Amino acid sequence: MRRRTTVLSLVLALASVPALVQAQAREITGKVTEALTGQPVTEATVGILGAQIGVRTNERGEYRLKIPNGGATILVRAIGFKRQTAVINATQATSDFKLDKDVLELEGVTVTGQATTVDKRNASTAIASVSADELTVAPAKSIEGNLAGKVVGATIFENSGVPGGGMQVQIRGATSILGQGDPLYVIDGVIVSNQSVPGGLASISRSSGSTASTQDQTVNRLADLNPNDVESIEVLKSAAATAIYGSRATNGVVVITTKKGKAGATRYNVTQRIGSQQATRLLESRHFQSYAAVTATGDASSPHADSIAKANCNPVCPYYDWQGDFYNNSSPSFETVLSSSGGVASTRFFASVNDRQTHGVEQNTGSRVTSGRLNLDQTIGDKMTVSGGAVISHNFTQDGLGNNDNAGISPIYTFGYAPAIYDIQKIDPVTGRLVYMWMNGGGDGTSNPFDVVHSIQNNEDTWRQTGNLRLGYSALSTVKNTVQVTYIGGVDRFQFEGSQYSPNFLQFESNDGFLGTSSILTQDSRFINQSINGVWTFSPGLKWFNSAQTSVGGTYETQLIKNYQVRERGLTPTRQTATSGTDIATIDNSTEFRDQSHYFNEQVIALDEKLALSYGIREDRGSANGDRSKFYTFPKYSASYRFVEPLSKITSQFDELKLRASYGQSGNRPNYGFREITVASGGVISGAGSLVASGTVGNPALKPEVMNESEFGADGAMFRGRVSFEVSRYNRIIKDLLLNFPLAPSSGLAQQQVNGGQMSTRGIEAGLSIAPISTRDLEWTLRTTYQHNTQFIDKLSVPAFPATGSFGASYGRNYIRAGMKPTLIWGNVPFSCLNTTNASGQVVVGTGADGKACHRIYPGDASVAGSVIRDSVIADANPRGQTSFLNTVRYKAFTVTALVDWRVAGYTSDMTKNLFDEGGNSRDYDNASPATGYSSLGAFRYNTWSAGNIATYIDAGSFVKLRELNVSFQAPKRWAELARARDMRIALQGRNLFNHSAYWSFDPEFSNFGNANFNRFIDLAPYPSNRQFFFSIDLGY
Amino acid sequence: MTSTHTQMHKLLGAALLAVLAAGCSQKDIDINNPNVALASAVASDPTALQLLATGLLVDQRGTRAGFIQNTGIFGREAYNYTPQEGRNTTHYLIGINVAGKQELDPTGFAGGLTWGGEYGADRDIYNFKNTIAAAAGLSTAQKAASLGFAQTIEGLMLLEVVQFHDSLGGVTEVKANPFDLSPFVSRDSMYKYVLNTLDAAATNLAGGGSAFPFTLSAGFAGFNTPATFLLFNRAIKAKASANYATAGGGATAWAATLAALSASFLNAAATTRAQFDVGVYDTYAPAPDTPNGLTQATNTNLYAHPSFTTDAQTKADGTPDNRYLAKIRTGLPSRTGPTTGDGPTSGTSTIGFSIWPTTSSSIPIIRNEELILLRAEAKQATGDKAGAIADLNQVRVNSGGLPASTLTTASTDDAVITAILYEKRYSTMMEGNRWIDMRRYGKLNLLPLDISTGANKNFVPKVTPISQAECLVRAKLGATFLGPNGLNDCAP
Repeated sequence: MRRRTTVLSLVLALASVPALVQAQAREITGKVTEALTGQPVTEATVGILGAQIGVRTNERGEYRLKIPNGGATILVRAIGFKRQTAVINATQATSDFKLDKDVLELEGVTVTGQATTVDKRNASTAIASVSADELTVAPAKSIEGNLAGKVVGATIFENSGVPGGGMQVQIRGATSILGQGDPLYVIDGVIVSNQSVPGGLASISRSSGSTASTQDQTVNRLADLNPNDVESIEVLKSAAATAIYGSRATNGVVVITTKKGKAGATRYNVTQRIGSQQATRLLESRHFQSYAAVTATGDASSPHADSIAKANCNPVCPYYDWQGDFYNNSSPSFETVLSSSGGVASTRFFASVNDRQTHGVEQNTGSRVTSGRLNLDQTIGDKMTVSGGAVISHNFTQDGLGNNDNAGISPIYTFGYAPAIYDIQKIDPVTGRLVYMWMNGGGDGTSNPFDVVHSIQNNEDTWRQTGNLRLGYSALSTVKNTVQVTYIGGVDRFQFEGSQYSPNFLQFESNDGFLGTSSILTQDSRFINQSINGVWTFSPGLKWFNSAQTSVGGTYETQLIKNYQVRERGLTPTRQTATSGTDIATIDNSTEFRDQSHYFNEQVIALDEKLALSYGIREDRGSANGDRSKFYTFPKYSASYRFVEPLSKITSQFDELKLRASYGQSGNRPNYGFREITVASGGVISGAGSLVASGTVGNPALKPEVMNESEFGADGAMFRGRVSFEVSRYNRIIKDLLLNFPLAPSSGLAQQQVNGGQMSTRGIEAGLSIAPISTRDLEWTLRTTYQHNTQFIDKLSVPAFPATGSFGASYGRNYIRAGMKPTLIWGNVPFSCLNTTNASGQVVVGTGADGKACHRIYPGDASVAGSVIRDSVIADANPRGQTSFLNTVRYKAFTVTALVDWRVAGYTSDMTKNLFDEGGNSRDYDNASPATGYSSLGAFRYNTWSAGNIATYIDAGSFVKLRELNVSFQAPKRWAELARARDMRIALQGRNLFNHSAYWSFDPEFSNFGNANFNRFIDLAPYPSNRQFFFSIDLGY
Repeated sequence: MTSTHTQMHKLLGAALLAVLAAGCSQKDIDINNPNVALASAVASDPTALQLLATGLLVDQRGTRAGFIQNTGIFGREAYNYTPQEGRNTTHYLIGINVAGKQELDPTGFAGGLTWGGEYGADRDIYNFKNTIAAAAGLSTAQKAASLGFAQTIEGLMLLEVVQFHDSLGGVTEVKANPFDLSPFVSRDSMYKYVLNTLDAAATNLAGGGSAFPFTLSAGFAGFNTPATFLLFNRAIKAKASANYATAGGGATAWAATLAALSASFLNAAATTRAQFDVGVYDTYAPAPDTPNGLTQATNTNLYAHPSFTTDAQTKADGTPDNRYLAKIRTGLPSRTGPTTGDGPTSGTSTIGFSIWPTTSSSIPIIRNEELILLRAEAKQATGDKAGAIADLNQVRVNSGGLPASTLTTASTDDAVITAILYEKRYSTMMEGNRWIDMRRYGKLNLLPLDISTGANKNFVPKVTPISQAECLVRAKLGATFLGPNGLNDCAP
């Protein structure tokens, strides 16, 4: 069974293992075994307490350690086990150890720098780590899905039900309004791209422009990573932890470590998985009771539609389950994972091949990810280590159609607008194709989804290569001093190709005036990063001063992204190339960042390993800053103290309590292209090119956003490691926000990006882990996490503005306004309140009929009397709390793991419901209206909305989700032997099996605009949510 | 111990040196942005003058289609039936309820019209003027010609602004520092600024020698030398004066209209289509040029108001007005705006325009046919009713194919104005006049409302509100930048 390891621990282990050569040495030998089962523990480190050096146990759990003459204290540590020490006397030659399992994961190390770690128990910032076992409870379309509910402080959203990816991780809330909102992803020391590349669906859907849009159901590129390769993930949250990544770290850093080879006979592992999927919930539509009800919607306005309605509704209209038939693809999904690991002490390898083929519930959609990885660790002599990894992956997705649409192709639009009263899956005898969508206007503003989904191609194809190299040189290694020099280099490149083709004959195709649309979009991305680090560890062997670690180093990073797109409309039949089009649009641009940094870092462990102190500073400069020569500094300070004895005196049930405090700064660099003062191309007229002023005025003073974060917390363990808890309180103040100062349109210019304003986030995170039962046959662990935060815009140096990426006041959006929470949803609502003006012309806020103060909307409201419709606060998109429960019960060979996620509130703009109501077609349309004056519930909602009160579509997004379920069975040896395997495991896995929510539409997590800092609560005709089931067999050789 | 420390320090020192070597060359991060042209590079490029001049034409063209479509919708010439986005229809026809009054929503689809694009052009004109002033290679005449060109475009842009915002006024000048905002001025000041600018342009063009130091676009064929461009300048002046005349300019402005017309390319004796169509146009073409966005070839959502059919007068043979036949296509699929629980939000239509058959069809900026009718207006206003009737008949008979009007000098002023407005409606269909003319003559109430009662009651806005963006910035920048109503929300 795989057990957890922690980041970089292997590398450090390598660094700390060189043989001790010392005079007058003697040897001690022994065996390390698992206390419960007696199984040998391999790869455990055995050394003298307080010293830097040690040896590792072999395959049989045996060790042989040289120690000085006399007595000694031996420390044994192994991944997945609690540490153990033994005092041996001067004559003792053997010592065996029986280790207890570390079920609550209190051991291990945590990242503190590019090349340094610290024992978790001495960590002075909050730790969030996820082991391979926790990660792979149930397969997910992208690794973020595997993290959901397992990282306290991180909110993980699924943008839509599209197979193949499209998820977002937000750590401790948004830290920026316009800057990068994604965490920094570092895999084996390489900063990798998590770009969300709009694939180009907008070329057909025209959701925004006619080339590509964030509304294209984008997949962020973390989807290329094979989760089965991951050994552990660590999430650095506070600024004190992320300061080591300087100006790219305000959103947190996700440090991913992949599996490494283990010395010994080569082990092979084969996993074969087969699965299926099903829509979690579909929305149905109105069951029309009469011809008159159909005509009242206006959807059957054309003579042909009218005749269909007349013929079919006699008197009750039939109901066709269009959605049920459309989202019914349960084609099997397959996943094959092959991995092998082995080597000798000096050369070890891990290799894996993975092929995962999944289908989406929407017909003709799916994804296939194929990847291969090779990780090598080589020791050269006793001073040099070389580690390297290489991955090649291919990710192909057929995204299908969904989200916002202005062309009539997004299926939910059609289902929302058109009465489902006739059969649209039959062939029209005249055309030989599926019948036209006669409802919903019946013209070229709509289309038959069954025809469209099979005829339109919307594919994304990514080839990716990532490589990393780590050179370690142990420059000095004595009992008291070690010096390690490390070089880390990495390259991550991919080529993304999004391609769309919409053939001429489709019903909607004439709408934009051109028959047929085809587009190809390519993104070339190349990230390179290098760092060099020197680490000096001084362990004087004193009880009151255990160790001091000094590290210095520097980094150089480049990221180059090139985009090309050719979109052509007006095609000759079946031809898809650019030259055949009559209307051609091209995009050609590139983005490049280069950053340099150097750092100094010091961590001290003292007072019998009770006190941990850490401080450091990093200086960054980069090409996106206005002043490229200026270094911006990011300091950090943190401390923790473990209380052990005072507690044990009070009660023996308390193992220890650690109090920690930290303060740090991290940054978020400016966006690309806002520093230069430029002139724009105005376009062509009569064949002549032109220049016009750029709407955006360059700002040569742009600098990174700076987050100041203080964090206080306590970590404790009780009942001999049976219970552990953690609580953290953080306060973030983000200054120098990147903001667009919107210039007055009458200045003839649009905006300038500036630094200014201040945003703050206060939050609390708590975790409780309990292992109530831990016996040979029955084990039960329960981990619960809770998180909540509140954000405020403290100051704003620009006029209040709606956060980018929304549809406006009629649909609800976040508003960035000083003194207000940026997560609030604003929209049009009616008021009857009167503000007045005093003698000096200031607005005096009046009192409304309800006795409360009138909302101050914007200056000038004083002039408005009576009932007005204004853009105001409706609800908060930020949940009141998020809680997750991860439960694992093992009884003998059976293990059941379940992850339940519970979100309270967190409001959503349900524009999907709005579509159905606008079409007079929602499933509950005919229910009674809650207010007089409306013919039905649907009419009430829609008419209230269209009269300027959008509150009827702002819905609470509370849910309880059974995100993951895994029932596995460790088969008896003889079963395994049938397959000639060493061991065999059979599992049933499920994802999103159950979603309890009063929410009307598919899923309150969904975001029409994909990954976004704000405005990610807009649900508009998405690809529906779905649940997946898998059956898997895991064979070990 | 000592030796260990020394060794270690050496190693750390070496590591640091390596870091410096690897990471500290600033040259490495001094990269160019290949997506843009640097302003500093353009300033020193001799080919930039042509590019900047073309930029003004692109700016001007960029405002045109929107101006025409929006005036078309407000003036009940056209509908925008975008089925996927009903607000394209409703926000124009219904607006929002502000204190019991129907208004356009300054934050909505019909908010902020005819503002940013025009001032964007103004910004480029400002930069262009600076470039001209600093251009060492230009002669005095070339500088004058260039300035006259820029000022004419400036007058045209600000005329559009005041036509849309009318009583709200506007802003006349852009300043070097975009944070330094010019104050709002009244409608009267706006018109005076426009007229003065056009006159200054005329003076400069008159002294502008024989050629511009740059080439104009194809739509300016026949008007692409300083002398011929001046004819265009006078035509715009005539239109601006006529607008000012009905907005407080009075008799002086009418007189100025007549004077400008006589200095323009007016050919009052025009009888053929070609003669009526002489004028200046915005030209369009497929990418990389800009396609005509109103054309029936690609725009399936732009419909014509059915009142064009009902109101078209008939020729002697009983068939409709030639202009109706030429510009309106019938028998389109029936379309309407979105239907709410309160019923339809707009009328239905089965007719569209055939004015712009392809994506390469031009859109006139001003044509001779409009100038003749402008003269009719001016003559009527200055007491020459006979002349007015003659001018309108010239168009009515030759362009419309209709029998001459039965009006006589004994007819009422209103009858003559109504007749001129009929001719203007069909002669300059979708050329940006109907809504503005009806407001100028106080006849907005005569425009048909498709839905005249209930929650979806349609209305005709008098003006379009100042964009909310403008108001918010002015509010942020402080009380010195008050809107036209003395408040910094600049709501109408």
